[in-house]
Amino acid sequence: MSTLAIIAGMALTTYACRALPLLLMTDPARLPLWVRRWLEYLPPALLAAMVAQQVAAPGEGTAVLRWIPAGLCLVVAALTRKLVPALLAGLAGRAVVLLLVGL
Amino acid sequence: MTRGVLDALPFALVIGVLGVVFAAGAGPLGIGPGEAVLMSVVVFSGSAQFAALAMWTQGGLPVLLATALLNTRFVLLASTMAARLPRLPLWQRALMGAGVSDEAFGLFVARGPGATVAYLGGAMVTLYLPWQVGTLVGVAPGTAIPPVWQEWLSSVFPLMFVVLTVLSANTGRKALVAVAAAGLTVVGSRFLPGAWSMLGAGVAGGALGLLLDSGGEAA
Repeated sequence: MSTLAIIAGMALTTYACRALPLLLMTDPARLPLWVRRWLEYLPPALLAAMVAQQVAAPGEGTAVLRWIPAGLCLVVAALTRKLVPALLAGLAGRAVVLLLVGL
Repeated sequence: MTRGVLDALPFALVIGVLGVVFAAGAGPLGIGPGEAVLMSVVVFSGSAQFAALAMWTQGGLPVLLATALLNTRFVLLASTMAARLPRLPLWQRALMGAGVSDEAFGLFVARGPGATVAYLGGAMVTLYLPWQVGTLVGVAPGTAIPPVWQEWLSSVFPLMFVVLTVLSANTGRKALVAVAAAGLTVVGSRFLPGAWSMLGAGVAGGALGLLLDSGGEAA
């Protein structure tokens, strides 16, 4: 398969997955109530699953280096509900872990 | 719109750097500079493009299968966005479809009632451009990002998603759903490829929310 063909295939599958729901679901009010409710709960569930996948996946750094910054970030985000302080807390946690454990 | 741009800026910085890393990794695999740039413009997916690099030597079909698997989550993300967007002309929806990404989704749902079409559009453009700039910089000969920088910047990414998760879980029940989905993902990743356990946990977490709702109404 030529490089251009692979790129075209990647682009088509990616765009189809992204755009079809937006193009087809033009009137969400017509969806069954349970689907709409499910879509309400989907964001926190999917985002948490993405985080868990990134933090729990073995390979990138040690477990301590992935869990402690994420945990600190989570606590500060829950308390302040603001992006920047939570990010800084997580990065500071990472710096401290690196200093202490020297990973 | 301005707010969407501003909120997306921290992501934009990291995406720019990751774009450089992607393009720098494409050259040694025999992907030409023009081809790498084309891929970033028409695919615009960090996860799919990095997976493509990882599997490039195995041939076209494995690359396309990996892309398809990683992309299935976009169906869910875009469906959620569609359910929250007002009526829009078709061309506008087609254009927004190109900008659906984990980051745009996270920002959009974390914004709550303030998440307008303009907000989403501003965020999408702010996320799209740095990926292209990064790719362009990365295909230029001699470009390299120090590994230490790479490590620090890529550690920002999971943290951003931690914050967006917290912001999107704005009720106790949603927080419970988020915790359950995270737990399911960790358990599921022992038996399934990461992308599947993540999708399964997301779908199941949403269903748990429905279950809690019906229990709450009955009580």
